[in-house]
Amino acid sequence: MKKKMLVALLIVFIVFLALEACGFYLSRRGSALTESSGTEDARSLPELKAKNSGLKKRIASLSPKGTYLVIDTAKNRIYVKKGEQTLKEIVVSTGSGSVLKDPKGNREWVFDTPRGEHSIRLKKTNPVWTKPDWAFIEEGEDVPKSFKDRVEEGVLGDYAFELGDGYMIHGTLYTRLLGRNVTHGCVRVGDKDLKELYETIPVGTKVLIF
Amino acid sequence: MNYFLRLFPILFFLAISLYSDAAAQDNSSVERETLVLESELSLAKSPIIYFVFDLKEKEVLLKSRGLVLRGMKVEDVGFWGDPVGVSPRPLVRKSALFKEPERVNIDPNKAKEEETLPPAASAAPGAFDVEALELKDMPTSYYLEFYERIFVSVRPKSVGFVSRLYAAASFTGWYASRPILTIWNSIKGRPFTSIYLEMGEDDARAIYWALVEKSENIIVQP
Repeated sequence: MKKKMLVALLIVFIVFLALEACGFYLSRRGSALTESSGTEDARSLPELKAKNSGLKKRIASLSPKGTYLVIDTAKNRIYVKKGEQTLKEIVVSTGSGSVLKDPKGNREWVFDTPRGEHSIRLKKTNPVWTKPDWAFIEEGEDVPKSFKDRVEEGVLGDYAFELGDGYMIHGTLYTRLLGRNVTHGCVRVGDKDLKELYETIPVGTKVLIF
Repeated sequence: MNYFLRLFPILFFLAISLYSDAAAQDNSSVERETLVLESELSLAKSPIIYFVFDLKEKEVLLKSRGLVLRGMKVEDVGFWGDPVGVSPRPLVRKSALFKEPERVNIDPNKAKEEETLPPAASAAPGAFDVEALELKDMPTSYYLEFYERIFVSVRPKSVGFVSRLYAAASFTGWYASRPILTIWNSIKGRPFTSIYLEMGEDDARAIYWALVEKSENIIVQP
């Protein structure tokens, strides 16, 4: 009985090893086939190097010129950058990632800070917040019909930068929440840093958000 | 002298073959670089964020417009299966090994209830635990599936005895199961590539945070 068990185990082990060997062979064969199939036309090494140098220049030409902003939504930071150099690091608040569903309809909002490339479209002083529908629904209130009932002053700080689609970089009353993901998608900045940004960052500046 | 004359042709052909082999390797690595750069150019033209999983250099780069926004070090790489071309690969899905991070659903009724509570109960002084999806909620062990069945398994760098034991078992299991999966997929006639990445916890979380489904990325195989 014990001997039969050992033989069975040995057979299983041999089958396993054979499968491993077959799998290994199939995997390596695939690599060898692709490595040998030239995807480029036969070109000389100097030609290829020249082509690569050209490609690198074309990629570099796509990067933002002058000062630009990089926003890290995971770390809640704005990096003011020029080329590879970081000129300033600012602690901010970005989107909470929370979801709000309209109990009376089919609408849904996801409060993420939008990722990708944006640019500063407009700079404002003493900005006024025109509350969107979600601001009322979140508070369990009815959405007002009159425009003037949507306007709220003094909540966006002294300055704001518009990024488009209602997203902004603006000030905050909740400075103790800087460094946390708490917003509805906008980027909140402390007063001192916001003033400095306003004085140094022109309209048209690229903003890369990830 | 006679010995040298006899050996000369052998040494000559050996030197020629070594030189041509090195030149071919050089050519192929430059050709590969060309393909990577062409792929990156196609992504850098769009206003998007993309990842370059450079397994050859053991790094993951988060990029936009050709600029490195964040660089992450890969501690260890395992590669198995069909070779990966350098053309941009869309991410099909990402899934946590244990618990998937969940978005918080805002309850409008709760906001109304809080308004009716006395101030002391609604705002505990000093406590501001936010209900949000943050970096710390992201998993460190997860799978990424890219187009054409490229599976990337990300695991945190092991620290401590138990963690190392788990990592060793996980890595052994990964290597033992790959050949069988290769045969299975070969029989089914499907492509199959499996990549194992060991990374620092923060970097692993940062990738999960920033990598969006359907986004295009580049994988440079070792």
